[in-house]
Amino acid sequence: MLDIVRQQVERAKQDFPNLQATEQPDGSVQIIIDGLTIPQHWGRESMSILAILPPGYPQAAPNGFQAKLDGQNWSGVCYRPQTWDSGRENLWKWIKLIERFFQENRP
Amino acid sequence: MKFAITFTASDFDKMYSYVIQDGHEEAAFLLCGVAETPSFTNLLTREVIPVPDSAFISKSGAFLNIKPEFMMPLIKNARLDNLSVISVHSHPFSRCNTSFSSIDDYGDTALIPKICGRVPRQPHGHIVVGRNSLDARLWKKDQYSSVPVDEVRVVGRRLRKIYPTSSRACSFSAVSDAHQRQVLAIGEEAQKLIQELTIAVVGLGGIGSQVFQQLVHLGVKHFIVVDPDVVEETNRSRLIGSTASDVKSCVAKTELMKRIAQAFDCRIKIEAIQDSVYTLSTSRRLIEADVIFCCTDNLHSRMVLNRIVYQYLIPLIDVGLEIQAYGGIITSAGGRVMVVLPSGPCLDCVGILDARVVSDEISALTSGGLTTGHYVSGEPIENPAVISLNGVVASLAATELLNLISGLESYRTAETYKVYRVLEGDVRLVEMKAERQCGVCVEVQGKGDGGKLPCRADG
Repeated sequence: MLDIVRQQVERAKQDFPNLQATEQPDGSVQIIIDGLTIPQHWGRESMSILAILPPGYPQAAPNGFQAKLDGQNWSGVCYRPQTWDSGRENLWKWIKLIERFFQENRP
Repeated sequence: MKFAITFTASDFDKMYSYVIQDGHEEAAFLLCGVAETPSFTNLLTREVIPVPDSAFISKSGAFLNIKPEFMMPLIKNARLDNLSVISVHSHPFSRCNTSFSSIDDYGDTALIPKICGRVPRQPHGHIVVGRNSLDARLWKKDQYSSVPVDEVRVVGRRLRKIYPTSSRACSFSAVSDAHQRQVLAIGEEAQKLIQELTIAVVGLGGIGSQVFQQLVHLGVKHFIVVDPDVVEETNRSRLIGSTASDVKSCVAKTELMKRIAQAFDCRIKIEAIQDSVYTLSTSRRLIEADVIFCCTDNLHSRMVLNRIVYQYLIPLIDVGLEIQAYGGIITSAGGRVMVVLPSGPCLDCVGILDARVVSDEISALTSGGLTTGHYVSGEPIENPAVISLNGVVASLAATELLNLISGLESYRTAETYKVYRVLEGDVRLVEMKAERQCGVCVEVQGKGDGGKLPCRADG
């Protein structure tokens, strides 16, 4: 894992302590957050999130994420940042965007 | 087996100006990443650490003795980051054929085992520098005797190869009659250097095949060519050397290039790889190259090759042309030829890489789909292409190689790239300015095999 990614993971962990990052054999990094707080209109307080940082991240943007929408099974969510500047964006911002997805959308 | 040490031009100048500054012997250390293949070991300079006067126990015209308290933190850092250590000292009065003295040999018997003991998994080295020449040797891991370094590469706006005094490499082969007229223009030294280089061409389509053909005619003798595709009928209008029977026989583009090269000179050596650079084993085969040409039509490959520039200190000449046309009329068209050097801004920093597009291309690849931008929902979009327009950017790209080795465009200002404006009919120099600091290019610089390339594993 690049130091720059490791630092982003550490920064994100400060606000999302349940975050786990695991480097995959293909160089991507699997991010799992158990219990991301979501708005009430989702009928639950929190949801587990799985996001993949693709090989080459941050020069390749994150692309979608998975969530346990039914509480049990992973479902793919087609959602991506509208822009991605590798020098400015980071994992923390990506998780914040995922939070925003849950605020702006309904089940 | 070939052994090399590679510097960025700024690191080489820093080392040289420090150790050759007055009549005294001076010393420095280099911390290096390592690039290793079964046939090649290359130490990649990451840091130059001059030895200050205060760090010497004794220092005379012929003998240097460095305090252990200076050495120990340096070796510790090398161990922590798994880096090679190269000691450097000068023979300030030596001009030609600088070589190690018996005192140097004796000093190495004490120093090298200490370094190898602390950092056992990496090769280590020693360079002695004279005013106009140098000598270098390496200790491979687990071996007690040294091997001579075959070449020292210096990568900057000028690409240099220095052959150490005890190098086994045959420095500069003879120039053939075929290149006599070219030698009149660029000089014999540049021509000989062209013949010594290993050039990788990635992407052998309309632009890549023309770049390759020009490099063959320029006199390049060693190639690594990479392309996963075979010749198709729709390629033939712009794929140099292609025939109808190539289409029928599904001849790989890499094999076609082999045929072109060997028709010109049967001594040309080509490693033909019918694969894409997204595969780790393929991208790793590029690390033996002196220069890489990127002639592909996607950003994912550019992201991989851009990483190689910094991680392995190999210059990249990136070439692209985009034509937009409607109803048989070109509405916009532009080409770009950019030389990416380890000391300059990377393709991401200058804004060429679009992280979202790269990400889409990776997704398409991993889901077994086709590359976006050129294919949508499995249906290829037929991008407009014209051989003569490809030829302009291919020629500009091949000329950038001449620039790298001979400084051909000596009036050109630093840090610029070329933009071919098709509708305006001109070629402009554009300042190569960083739009952002991606952070990746700085982090991986000279890391070699200590960093991971963003490629999928084989199989």
